Amino acid sequence: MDQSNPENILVLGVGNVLLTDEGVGVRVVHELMASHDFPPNVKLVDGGVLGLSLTGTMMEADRVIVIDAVRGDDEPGTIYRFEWNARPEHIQYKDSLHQIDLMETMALLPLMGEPPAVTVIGVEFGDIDNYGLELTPQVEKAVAPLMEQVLAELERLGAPGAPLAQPREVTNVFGHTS
Amino acid sequence: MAKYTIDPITRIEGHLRIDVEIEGGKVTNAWSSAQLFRGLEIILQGRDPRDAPWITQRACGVCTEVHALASIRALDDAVRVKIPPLARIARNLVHGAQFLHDHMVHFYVLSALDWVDVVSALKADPKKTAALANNLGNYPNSGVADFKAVQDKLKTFVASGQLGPFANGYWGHKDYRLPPEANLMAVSHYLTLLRLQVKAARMMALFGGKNPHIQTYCTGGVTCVKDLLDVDRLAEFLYYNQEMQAFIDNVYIPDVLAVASFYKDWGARNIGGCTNFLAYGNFPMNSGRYPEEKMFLPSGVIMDRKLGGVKDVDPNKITESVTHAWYENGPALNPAKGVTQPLDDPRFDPIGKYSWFKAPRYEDKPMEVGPLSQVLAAYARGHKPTVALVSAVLKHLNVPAGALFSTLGRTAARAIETKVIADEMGAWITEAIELIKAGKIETAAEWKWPGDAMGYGLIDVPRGALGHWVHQDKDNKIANYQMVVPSTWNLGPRDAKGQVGPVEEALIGTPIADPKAPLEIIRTVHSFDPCIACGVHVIDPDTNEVRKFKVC
Repeated sequence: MDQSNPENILVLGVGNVLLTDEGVGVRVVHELMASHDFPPNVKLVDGGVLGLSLTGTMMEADRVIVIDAVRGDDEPGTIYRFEWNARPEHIQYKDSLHQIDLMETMALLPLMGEPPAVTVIGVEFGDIDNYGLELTPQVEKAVAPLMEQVLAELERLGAPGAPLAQPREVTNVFGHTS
Repeated sequence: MAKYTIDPITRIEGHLRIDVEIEGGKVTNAWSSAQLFRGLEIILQGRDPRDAPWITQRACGVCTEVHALASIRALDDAVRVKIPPLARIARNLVHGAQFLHDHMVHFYVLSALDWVDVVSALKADPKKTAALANNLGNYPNSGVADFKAVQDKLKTFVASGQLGPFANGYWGHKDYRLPPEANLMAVSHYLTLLRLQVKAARMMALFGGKNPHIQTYCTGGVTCVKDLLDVDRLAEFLYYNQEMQAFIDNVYIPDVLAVASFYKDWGARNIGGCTNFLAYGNFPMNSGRYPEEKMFLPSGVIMDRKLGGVKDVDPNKITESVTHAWYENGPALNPAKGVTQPLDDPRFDPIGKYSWFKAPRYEDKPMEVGPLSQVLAAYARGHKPTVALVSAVLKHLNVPAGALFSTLGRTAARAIETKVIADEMGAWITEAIELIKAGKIETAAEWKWPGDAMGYGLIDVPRGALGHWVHQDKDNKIANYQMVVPSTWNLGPRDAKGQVGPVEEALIGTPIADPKAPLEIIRTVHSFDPCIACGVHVIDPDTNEVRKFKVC
């Protein structure tokens, strides 16, 4: 790879943090932001449940790593990895809340220009039906391995994260630091 | 008489079920049912009130900013803080950018395809399309080659089979009236908008801190201090705004007029019209307490379509009825005292309870909220830019003001509101520069925890009148939090008196050409820009929704 002009990598956590395991992707991104430094060509974004509003951020990237809850009918906490263009049929990719959701947003990207390559790191959810900011225990246990998975992905792409000695304080949806 | 269920309605945010009875080619009765329960208020109880803007903006994937704003306004009100002028302007700029983004996306991505046939665009002659486009507006990339390129792209896209938002359309429906060239032009502008909305989102982030999920609003003001004091940032905002204005003037408004000219009977016959209208007003111009707060777009209550009788909004006159909603029965309450007691076993019962939405009422009347209400209130009060635009649109289409009370009027009002806001934002930037020059650079005011206190935050947002009510206890924790969102007003069920909600009223009387493809219903439902996600809890693991029709 041309080191003077490395590809732009977007790590995009999506989901609704209000609905228990729905927000696991967002949670992983916030944990990574708090615990690591990344090279300038890597951008971490908490995408929430936005669809169309994410197109700009996505089109700026050459490569996108999406982290989200998926339904693969396996044990909650099971981690999946697949290329968007070769997603297994049995996996129901979900962004749950919206009709113009991430799925449709991805379908629109080719109309806007050259779409990025998308890799999905997914995790089987336990509960996405009940309101709550906490993950279920099984999915909570998957947070650290999910972070490892993303870090391994970035390393493979020549853009490794560097762990911080002290986690930095991030003000985020998970609570007001009062 | 045949009964039809449309569930879910696609190209809206969230999950809505519409039931209609059709007789003699017309809708004779209608029920709007929000399918999933909202539990957001329950999460908030007992938390620090400052968490509310963070949490409420996660309720929806589109309106994150608006909930943060209503929430912050409620907290400002509870602690009785007056925000500094520069903070007020910053909030208006972010909120204004949100409007531009939402309204343009709504027209092109969420509703235009109810009037524009994508498949017909494949048959258009690019040469004639270019002639048509240049006749309507002056915008780059409107040459023959450009339209040919769009058509080729569209062909490839359709051939790929991954249709995204183009899936599940009623393509070929006989009430698609535009010629292929107008359809191709509109589809081309759809693609232009996809690129432009990226810039509108960036425009919000300039003073929003970031987008998605802006983080600049704080109790007492804003936190985007450095950005506000940076003249380059102010200029950048202005530049983006000018780009939006060019699109609005040369593409959005002409497209709305072009589409409307083929469907004028929808205005003349008031198809999709409602009776009563409520706007909270928008863009504060001083720091008074609502409703004394002066707004750029004035608030207003209009009953029985009588524009001459426009009245001020009194928040105490708002109540919510649960008679036909899946909650324990009780009296209609003001949201400040609102109670949320969901039933365990919700069942759709057209003469009983049938929705997770409560039925908000003003003086016991159902009220349409949204761009049409805001434009009507401004028009009725003689707001100059609004009056000028409304008059120009009516004149261009050669229709009377009464045509505004319709689905088409709602669609036109959204475009008018977009232009009024875009045309004003430059003045706010100038005002910010004057304040900075005068050294008035305060961006947040001091405030103290008041102990036991109530507050409300009312403001118009792209989908209409949005209110948050907060009750803080003596330990400054949230004791009760209630949100009455625009889609609850518009899509709520019947009330204790049996009065239908606005979308139900709007649908009754709608002519239906083909009950198996109720395109006309979808047009009206979409024109309200329903956002059910913030109204209710929504989960749907299926990715490719298919409309189901149950003929009872």
